[in-house]
Amino acid sequence: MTAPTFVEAARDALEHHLAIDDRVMVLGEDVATGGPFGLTKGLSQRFGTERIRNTPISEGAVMGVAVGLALGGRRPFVDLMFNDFVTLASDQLFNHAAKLHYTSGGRRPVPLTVWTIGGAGTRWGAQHSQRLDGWLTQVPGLKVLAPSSPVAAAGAVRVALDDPDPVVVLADRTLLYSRSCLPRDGASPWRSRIVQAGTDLTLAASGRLVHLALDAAATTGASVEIIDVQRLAPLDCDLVVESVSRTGRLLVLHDEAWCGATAATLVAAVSERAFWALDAPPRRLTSPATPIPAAAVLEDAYMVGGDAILAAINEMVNG
Amino acid sequence: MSQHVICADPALLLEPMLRARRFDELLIANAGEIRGHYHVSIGLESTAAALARLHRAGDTVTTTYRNHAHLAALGSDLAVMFAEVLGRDLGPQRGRAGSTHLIDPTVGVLHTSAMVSGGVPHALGLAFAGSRARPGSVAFCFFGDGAFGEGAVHESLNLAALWRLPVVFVCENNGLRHGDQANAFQSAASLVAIAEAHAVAGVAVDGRSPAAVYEAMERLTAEVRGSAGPRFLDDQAPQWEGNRTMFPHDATGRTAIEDATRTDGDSWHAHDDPVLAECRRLLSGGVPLDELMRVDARVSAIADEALSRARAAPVAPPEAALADVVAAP
Repeated sequence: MTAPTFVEAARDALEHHLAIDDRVMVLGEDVATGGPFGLTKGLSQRFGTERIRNTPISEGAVMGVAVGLALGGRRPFVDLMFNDFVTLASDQLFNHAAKLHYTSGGRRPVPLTVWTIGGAGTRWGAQHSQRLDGWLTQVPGLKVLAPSSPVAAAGAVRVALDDPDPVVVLADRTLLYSRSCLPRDGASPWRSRIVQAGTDLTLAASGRLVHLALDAAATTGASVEIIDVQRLAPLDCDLVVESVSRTGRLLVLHDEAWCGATAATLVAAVSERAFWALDAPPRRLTSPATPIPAAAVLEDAYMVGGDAILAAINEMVNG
Repeated sequence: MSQHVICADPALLLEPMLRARRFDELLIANAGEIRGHYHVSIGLESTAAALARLHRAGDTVTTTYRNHAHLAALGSDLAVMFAEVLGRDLGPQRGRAGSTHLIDPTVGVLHTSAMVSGGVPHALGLAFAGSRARPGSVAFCFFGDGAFGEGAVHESLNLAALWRLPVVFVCENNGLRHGDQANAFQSAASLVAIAEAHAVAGVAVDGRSPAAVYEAMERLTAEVRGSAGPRFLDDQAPQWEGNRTMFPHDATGRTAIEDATRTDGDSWHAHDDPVLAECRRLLSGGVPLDELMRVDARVSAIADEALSRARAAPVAPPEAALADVVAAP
């Protein structure tokens, strides 16, 4: 049997939860007809349009409806389609979903899952390619997972639907139809995981960049420890800090502008907690601080790529 | 509209209105003890009283930063409300919510948004979940006229009608008409016209008349409970002048029930105060002034005792700030 793609694995996990938990509902644009990327294929046929509900193009209200459903005892799963659309749903996500448990004095959890795809690589231009991790991870009360493989995607959907808090599953655009598995794929989606052990350098990445890191590391003579940072919020730094205390070097890859939060926070955590173990300045490879261009050549130049990763590893280990 | 007679019983509307009024008056009188901002509901007690009478077990309520009257009228513990506004450690919210996010799940107020229009779509989700779990239950959704400036209200009206959700939308409208417009910021002729453009039937009512508000809201709520889909009430209540400043101020003095016997002069109490309007209705229905005074004395004593109980509670401890960020850390 062919291994499932990232989207198929996530879909199967969603279907499983719909079958075992009748509180689970799916809301989004075109979800009753399979979803724009196939995430909800066949679900309305099995579970009906009462639970697999097409919505108007009203991201703000729909996210608010989902918050209300969660307050009312349901477990809504919102397909927010593109990560860029977080902007339209941001009041409900940031000012409401993330804060209700706190302001209610712990009496009202908000079990809400948001699935959203982000990242450049498919030439969709400046408003349909962003990763707004920095925004999502700045608001205490939201949990953010960035799965890197089909198994991890299924795991992220599973734990998000089981969790009492709002969880955003940030799916990497270029992984959607990938079948590539990773070592230690069965690890908890909540925790950073070592996908390759090494002694010369710690390379922290998430999503598609984990795969690029593995490829780059395979072509260098250096012994690279690759850590898949699966939980972006609250950012799971511990394993990275522990690893750097052994390797003495840190390279962070992230698909955000250099001023984005995730890579900078990892570097800050290592600087604070493993500073005296460092043999070299920590380094980040991120996107430049520009909107995302549409043309293939331009977008490729914008994205963190394998050659840059390889060069950075070699410079850090040999330099 | 058919006029059926609401009985001349002070417990029906006056008592919940007074709970709200005395609560807010005490807050203003003791404003020096409040560190942050707060909003009062003075002049908007008609809808709160109607809510208190129409609310049934299983119904939910979304309100706004101007939430005091809704909670007080529904019978929420005034001491817990005072404590939360004063930053005291008495209720589960432990000073983390403040005036603008008051809740009481025991009366169906599960969360209160302080973002203009923020709670409106929540009512749809609550109506969906609630009506499936308990057919006939409704979500009462309160918001101000300013919320019509936000897209969420228009999106929610449309979606509620599209999905025939049992939502009673209540706009506490203290905006002034502006020529042919509903108000200075809406080009539509009326707020009801906007709701009806989204296929949500609605009616406007004079918010200064608690009995008229009750009758209108009762009819709309019955239609919503009967699965007719959402309805909209435009509750037209003139703004109380004490709300025209950044912080509420004592613009009209402590409400005196005996003033209900007077309608002379051009004071707010003489013409626009819904509490005294209800007193007048009761007086004309044969209820003696003495009885109204007794009801007020009882409610005022409850409010005074609640404030004392809140003051006696300890100040919320710093460590409370760090708890309950998420349910599963």
